[in-house]
Amino acid sequence: MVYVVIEELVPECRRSGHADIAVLATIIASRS
Amino acid sequence: MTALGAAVVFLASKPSARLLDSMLGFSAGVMLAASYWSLLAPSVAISEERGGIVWLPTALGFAVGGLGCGARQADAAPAHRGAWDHRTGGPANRLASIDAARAGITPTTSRGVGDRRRGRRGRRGGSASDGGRGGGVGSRARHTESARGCRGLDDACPRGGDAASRVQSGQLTGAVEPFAAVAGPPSSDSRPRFCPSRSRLRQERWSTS
Repeated sequence: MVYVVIEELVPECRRSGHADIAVLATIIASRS
Repeated sequence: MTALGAAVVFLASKPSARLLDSMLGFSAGVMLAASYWSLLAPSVAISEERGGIVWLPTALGFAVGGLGCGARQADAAPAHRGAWDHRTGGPANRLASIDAARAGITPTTSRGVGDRRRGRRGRRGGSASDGGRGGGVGSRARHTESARGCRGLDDACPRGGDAASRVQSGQLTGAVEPFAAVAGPPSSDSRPRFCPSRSRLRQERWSTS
């Protein structure tokens, strides 16, 4: 799962230019 | 839960890229939390009970899993080139169903093995779906189920076609998990060499006889 997050999800989030909201969502999800 | 997450595409037929990226980020956070609370932390706890070098089994498993995923990714990279990403309208996004399925197989199988072993040792634990060892079960189960739902949504949204076909493709990524949950416990029987608790029992039997 960590590999999929690093290799697939993070680059996919950065591709279309909404990396900031994706990072915020990541933080919220990991702390919930 | 994966199917429920995929069914969200009925509510928003054309979700914005901003929403999709936020959902991707959310699922990344949930997967990170689930991989720690459901897999790494229980592994360290079991190692502490057994004694020895606490971090070594977890670190070895983590490294072997990462190497295996890297090798699999190197083999699968050419297969993704022919696909098409309907969200961006460009060449393929690498988040194919097989990758999501691979992400589901490993933790499901591992939880099956862990629960089977805990059941033999007479400890409180539970089913393959709770991923837990007593306290904190609800938190880990929530992370795992949330990860499944987000993955279903992420798999369903970027694909083209009508909503029903997209939901179906999102559901299919979760279809592998029952098979992995069933295949996990027997694997602890068929590979006793990789089962430390058995080797320890064997050593104790030799020392007492």
